[in-house]
Amino acid sequence: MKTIILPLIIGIIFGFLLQRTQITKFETIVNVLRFKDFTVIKFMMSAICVTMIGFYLMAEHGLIGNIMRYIAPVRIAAIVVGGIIFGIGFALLGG
Amino acid sequence: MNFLRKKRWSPYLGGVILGLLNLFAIYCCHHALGASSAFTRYVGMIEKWLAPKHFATLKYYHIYKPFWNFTAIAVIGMFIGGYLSARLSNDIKIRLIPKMWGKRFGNSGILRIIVSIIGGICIGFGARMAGGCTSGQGISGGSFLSVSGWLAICCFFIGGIITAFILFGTKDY
Repeated sequence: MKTIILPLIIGIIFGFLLQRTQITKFETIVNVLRFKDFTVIKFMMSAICVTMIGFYLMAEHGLIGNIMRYIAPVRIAAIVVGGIIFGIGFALLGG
Repeated sequence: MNFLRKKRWSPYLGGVILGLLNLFAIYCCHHALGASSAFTRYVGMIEKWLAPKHFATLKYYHIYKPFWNFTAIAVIGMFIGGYLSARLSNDIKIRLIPKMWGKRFGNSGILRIIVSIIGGICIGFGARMAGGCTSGQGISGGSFLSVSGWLAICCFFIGGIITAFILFGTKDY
Protein backbone atom coordinates (compact mmCIF):
# COMPACT_ATOMS: atom_id res chain seq x y z
CA MET A 1 0.00 0.00 0.00
CA LYS A 2 2.65 2.44 1.05
CA THR A 3 4.91 1.64 -1.87
CA ILE A 4 2.33 1.69 -4.66
CA ILE A 5 -0.86 3.52 -3.73
CA LEU A 6 0.75 6.45 -1.94
CA PRO A 7 3.18 7.39 -4.77
CA LEU A 8 0.32 7.00 -7.24
CA ILE A 9 -1.91 9.37 -5.28
CA ILE A 10 0.93 11.85 -4.83
CA GLY A 11 1.57 11.68 -8.58
CA ILE A 12 -2.11 12.22 -9.38
CA ILE A 13 -2.24 15.36 -7.22
CA PHE A 14 1.03 16.58 -8.74
CA GLY A 15 -0.28 16.13 -12.28
CA PHE A 16 -3.57 17.74 -11.31
CA LEU A 17 -1.81 20.83 -9.95
CA LEU A 18 0.44 21.17 -12.99
CA GLN A 19 -2.50 21.03 -15.37
CA ARG A 20 -4.77 23.22 -13.28
CA THR A 21 -2.31 26.06 -12.78
CA GLN A 22 -1.81 25.90 -16.58
CA ILE A 23 1.95 25.70 -16.37
CA THR A 24 1.91 22.79 -18.78
CA LYS A 25 0.77 25.06 -21.60
CA PHE A 26 3.18 25.97 -24.40
CA GLU A 27 2.39 29.69 -24.10
CA THR A 28 2.97 29.74 -20.33
CA ILE A 29 6.39 28.13 -20.62
CA VAL A 30 7.64 30.17 -23.56
CA ASN A 31 6.31 33.41 -22.06
CA VAL A 32 8.06 32.94 -18.74
CA LEU A 33 11.27 32.59 -20.71
CA ARG A 34 10.49 35.88 -22.47
CA PHE A 35 9.58 37.63 -19.17
CA LYS A 36 5.95 38.10 -20.19
CA ASP A 37 4.06 35.72 -17.91
CA PHE A 38 5.41 34.79 -14.50
CA THR A 39 3.05 31.93 -13.67
CA VAL A 40 5.87 29.38 -13.66
CA ILE A 41 8.02 31.46 -11.30
CA LYS A 42 5.10 32.13 -8.93
CA PHE A 43 4.27 28.43 -8.86
CA MET A 44 7.83 27.19 -8.44
CA MET A 45 8.87 29.71 -5.86
CA SER A 46 5.80 29.30 -3.64
CA ALA A 47 6.32 25.54 -3.73
CA ILE A 48 10.01 25.99 -2.88
CA CYS A 49 9.24 28.35 0.04
CA VAL A 50 6.75 25.96 1.63
CA THR A 51 8.91 22.86 1.21
CA MET A 52 12.03 24.69 2.37
CA ILE A 53 10.48 25.73 5.69
CA GLY A 54 8.82 22.38 6.31
CA PHE A 55 11.85 20.35 5.27
CA TYR A 56 14.23 22.04 7.66
CA LEU A 57 11.64 22.08 10.47
CA MET A 58 11.23 18.33 10.06
CA ALA A 59 15.00 17.86 9.89
CA GLU A 60 15.40 19.94 13.05
CA HIS A 61 13.00 17.67 14.91
CA GLY A 62 14.62 14.52 13.57
CA LEU A 63 11.56 13.39 11.62
CA ILE A 64 13.28 12.58 8.35
CA GLY A 65 16.67 11.27 9.37
CA ASN A 66 19.78 12.26 7.52
CA ILE A 67 19.00 15.10 5.11
CA MET A 68 22.10 14.50 3.00
CA ARG A 69 20.42 11.66 1.18
CA TYR A 70 18.02 14.14 -0.41
CA ILE A 71 20.73 16.43 -1.66
CA ALA A 72 22.20 15.76 -5.09
CA PRO A 73 25.99 15.90 -5.51
CA VAL A 74 27.43 19.04 -7.07
CA ARG A 75 28.93 18.14 -10.42
CA ILE A 76 29.39 21.62 -11.79
CA ALA A 77 30.27 20.83 -15.42
CA ALA A 78 27.52 18.23 -15.80
CA ILE A 79 24.92 20.49 -14.24
CA VAL A 80 25.88 23.54 -16.31
CA VAL A 81 26.03 21.71 -19.65
CA GLY A 82 23.04 19.49 -18.92
CA GLY A 83 21.05 22.40 -17.54
CA ILE A 84 21.62 24.53 -20.63
CA ILE A 85 20.71 21.63 -22.94
CA PHE A 86 17.59 21.12 -20.86
CA GLY A 87 16.79 24.83 -21.14
CA ILE A 88 17.06 24.71 -24.94
CA GLY A 89 14.64 21.80 -25.00
CA PHE A 90 12.41 23.62 -22.52
CA ALA A 91 11.97 26.51 -24.97
CA LEU A 92 11.73 24.36 -28.13
CA LEU A 93 9.12 22.00 -26.78
CA GLY A 94 7.44 24.45 -24.42
CA GLY A 95 6.75 21.87 -21.79
CA MET B 1 -17.42 21.74 -6.68
CA ASN B 2 -17.26 25.03 -8.53
CA PHE B 3 -13.71 25.42 -7.35
CA LEU B 4 -12.75 22.02 -8.73
CA ARG B 5 -14.20 22.97 -12.11
CA LYS B 6 -12.47 26.33 -12.32
CA LYS B 7 -10.21 26.45 -15.38
CA ARG B 8 -7.26 28.05 -13.69
CA TRP B 9 -6.09 28.10 -10.10
CA SER B 10 -3.83 30.79 -8.75
CA PRO B 11 -0.21 29.67 -9.17
CA TYR B 12 0.45 30.77 -5.58
CA LEU B 13 -2.23 28.43 -4.30
CA GLY B 14 -1.04 25.62 -6.58
CA GLY B 15 2.53 26.18 -5.43
CA VAL B 16 1.63 26.06 -1.74
CA ILE B 17 -0.33 22.83 -2.23
CA LEU B 18 2.58 21.36 -4.19
CA GLY B 19 4.98 22.36 -1.41
CA LEU B 20 2.82 20.61 1.18
CA LEU B 21 2.53 17.59 -1.11
CA ASN B 22 6.30 17.46 -1.40
CA LEU B 23 6.63 17.54 2.40
CA PHE B 24 4.07 14.75 2.66
CA ALA B 25 6.05 12.68 0.13
CA ILE B 26 9.28 13.25 2.03
CA TYR B 27 7.71 12.40 5.38
CA CYS B 28 5.74 9.34 4.27
CA CYS B 29 7.77 7.89 1.40
CA HIS B 30 11.22 9.31 2.21
CA HIS B 31 11.32 10.55 -1.34
CA ALA B 32 11.12 14.06 -2.77
CA LEU B 33 9.08 14.79 -5.87
CA GLY B 34 10.78 14.41 -9.21
CA ALA B 35 9.91 13.28 -12.69
CA SER B 36 12.75 12.76 -15.14
CA SER B 37 14.41 9.75 -13.50
CA ALA B 38 11.18 7.79 -14.04
CA PHE B 39 11.80 7.75 -17.79
CA THR B 40 15.29 6.39 -17.22
CA ARG B 41 13.76 3.53 -15.30
CA TYR B 42 11.11 2.83 -17.93
CA VAL B 43 13.75 2.69 -20.65
CA GLY B 44 15.91 0.52 -18.39
CA MET B 45 13.05 -1.93 -17.92
CA ILE B 46 12.45 -2.13 -21.66
CA GLU B 47 16.16 -2.54 -22.35
CA LYS B 48 16.51 -5.23 -19.72
CA TRP B 49 13.68 -7.10 -21.42
CA LEU B 50 14.81 -6.61 -25.04
CA ALA B 51 18.60 -6.76 -24.74
CA PRO B 52 19.60 -8.21 -21.37
CA LYS B 53 23.25 -8.75 -22.38
CA HIS B 54 23.78 -5.17 -23.46
CA PHE B 55 21.84 -3.98 -20.42
CA ALA B 56 24.28 -5.68 -18.04
CA THR B 57 27.20 -3.71 -19.48
CA LEU B 58 25.64 -0.30 -18.80
CA LYS B 59 26.96 1.19 -15.59
CA TYR B 60 24.27 3.85 -15.47
CA TYR B 61 21.66 1.24 -14.62
CA HIS B 62 23.65 0.09 -11.63
CA ILE B 63 22.91 3.48 -10.12
CA TYR B 64 19.43 3.92 -11.55
CA LYS B 65 18.19 0.38 -11.17
CA PRO B 66 15.16 -0.17 -13.37
CA PHE B 67 12.33 -0.99 -10.99
CA TRP B 68 9.07 0.63 -9.96
CA ASN B 69 10.32 3.06 -7.37
CA PHE B 70 8.50 6.08 -5.99
CA THR B 71 9.17 8.37 -8.95
CA ALA B 72 8.39 5.76 -11.59
CA ILE B 73 4.96 5.17 -10.05
CA ALA B 74 4.30 8.85 -9.35
CA VAL B 75 4.86 9.79 -13.00
CA ILE B 76 2.15 7.32 -14.04
CA GLY B 77 -0.05 9.11 -11.52
CA MET B 78 0.87 12.46 -13.07
CA PHE B 79 -0.63 11.42 -16.40
CA ILE B 80 -3.83 10.35 -14.65
CA GLY B 81 -3.95 13.53 -12.56
CA GLY B 82 -3.38 15.78 -15.55
CA TYR B 83 -6.13 14.04 -17.47
CA LEU B 84 -8.54 14.21 -14.52
CA SER B 85 -7.88 17.89 -14.06
CA ALA B 86 -8.37 18.70 -17.73
CA ARG B 87 -11.51 16.59 -17.82
CA LEU B 88 -13.03 18.22 -14.74
CA SER B 89 -12.44 21.75 -15.99
CA ASN B 90 -13.36 20.85 -19.56
CA ASP B 91 -9.96 21.95 -20.80
CA ILE B 92 -9.11 19.13 -23.19
CA LYS B 93 -8.00 20.27 -26.59
CA ILE B 94 -6.08 18.11 -29.01
CA ARG B 95 -3.93 20.30 -31.17
CA LEU B 96 -0.69 19.78 -32.99
CA ILE B 97 0.37 23.40 -33.23
CA PRO B 98 0.19 25.76 -30.25
CA LYS B 99 -1.43 29.09 -31.15
CA MET B 100 1.68 31.09 -30.45
CA TRP B 101 3.86 28.77 -32.54
CA GLY B 102 1.36 28.97 -35.43
CA LYS B 103 1.44 32.77 -35.47
CA ARG B 104 5.23 32.85 -35.58
CA PHE B 105 6.18 29.88 -37.74
CA GLY B 106 3.02 29.07 -39.67
CA ASN B 107 0.92 25.95 -39.62
CA SER B 108 3.42 23.36 -40.83
CA GLY B 109 2.79 20.27 -38.76
CA ILE B 110 6.01 18.56 -39.84
CA LEU B 111 8.16 21.48 -38.67
CA ARG B 112 6.43 21.45 -35.29
CA ILE B 113 6.88 17.69 -34.93
CA ILE B 114 10.59 17.88 -35.79
CA VAL B 115 11.18 20.76 -33.38
CA SER B 116 9.21 18.98 -30.65
CA ILE B 117 11.25 15.81 -31.05
CA ILE B 118 14.51 17.77 -30.89
CA GLY B 119 13.19 19.63 -27.86
CA GLY B 120 12.13 16.41 -26.19
CA ILE B 121 15.54 14.83 -26.73
CA CYS B 122 17.23 17.92 -25.28
CA ILE B 123 14.94 17.82 -22.25
CA GLY B 124 15.52 14.14 -21.59
CA PHE B 125 19.27 14.22 -22.15
CA GLY B 126 19.80 17.52 -20.33
CA ALA B 127 17.70 16.55 -17.34
CA ARG B 128 19.57 13.32 -16.77
CA MET B 129 22.93 15.02 -17.25
CA ALA B 130 22.04 17.78 -14.80
CA GLY B 131 20.70 15.25 -12.31
CA GLY B 132 17.05 16.21 -12.57
CA CYS B 133 14.40 18.30 -14.27
CA THR B 134 12.48 21.36 -13.12
CA SER B 135 10.70 19.20 -10.53
CA GLY B 136 13.55 17.16 -9.10
CA GLN B 137 16.45 19.60 -9.24
CA GLY B 138 14.27 22.72 -9.45
CA ILE B 139 11.44 22.46 -6.96
CA SER B 140 12.87 19.75 -4.70
CA GLY B 141 16.57 20.59 -4.97
CA GLY B 142 15.79 24.29 -4.73
CA SER B 143 13.86 23.86 -1.51
CA PHE B 144 16.68 21.90 0.13
CA LEU B 145 18.86 24.92 -0.66
CA SER B 146 21.25 22.58 -2.41
CA VAL B 147 23.97 24.08 -4.59
CA SER B 148 23.22 21.62 -7.39
CA GLY B 149 19.53 22.54 -7.35
CA TRP B 150 20.03 26.29 -7.64
CA LEU B 151 22.83 25.95 -10.17
CA ALA B 152 20.53 23.75 -12.24
CA ILE B 153 17.64 26.24 -12.01
CA CYS B 154 19.93 29.03 -13.23
CA CYS B 155 21.17 26.95 -16.17
CA PHE B 156 17.67 25.74 -17.13
CA PHE B 157 16.58 29.35 -17.41
CA ILE B 158 19.75 30.58 -19.11
CA GLY B 159 19.34 27.99 -21.88
CA GLY B 160 15.61 28.54 -22.06
CA ILE B 161 15.65 32.33 -22.09
CA ILE B 162 18.25 32.53 -24.85
CA THR B 163 16.40 29.99 -27.00
CA ALA B 164 13.00 31.58 -26.40
CA PHE B 165 14.25 35.04 -27.39
CA ILE B 166 15.96 33.65 -30.50
CA LEU B 167 12.74 31.89 -31.52
CA PHE B 168 10.12 34.46 -30.57
CA GLY B 169 11.88 37.77 -29.94
CA THR B 170 10.21 40.35 -27.76
CA LYS B 171 6.97 40.77 -29.73
CA ASP B 172 3.62 39.84 -28.20
CA TYR B 173 1.88 36.97 -29.90
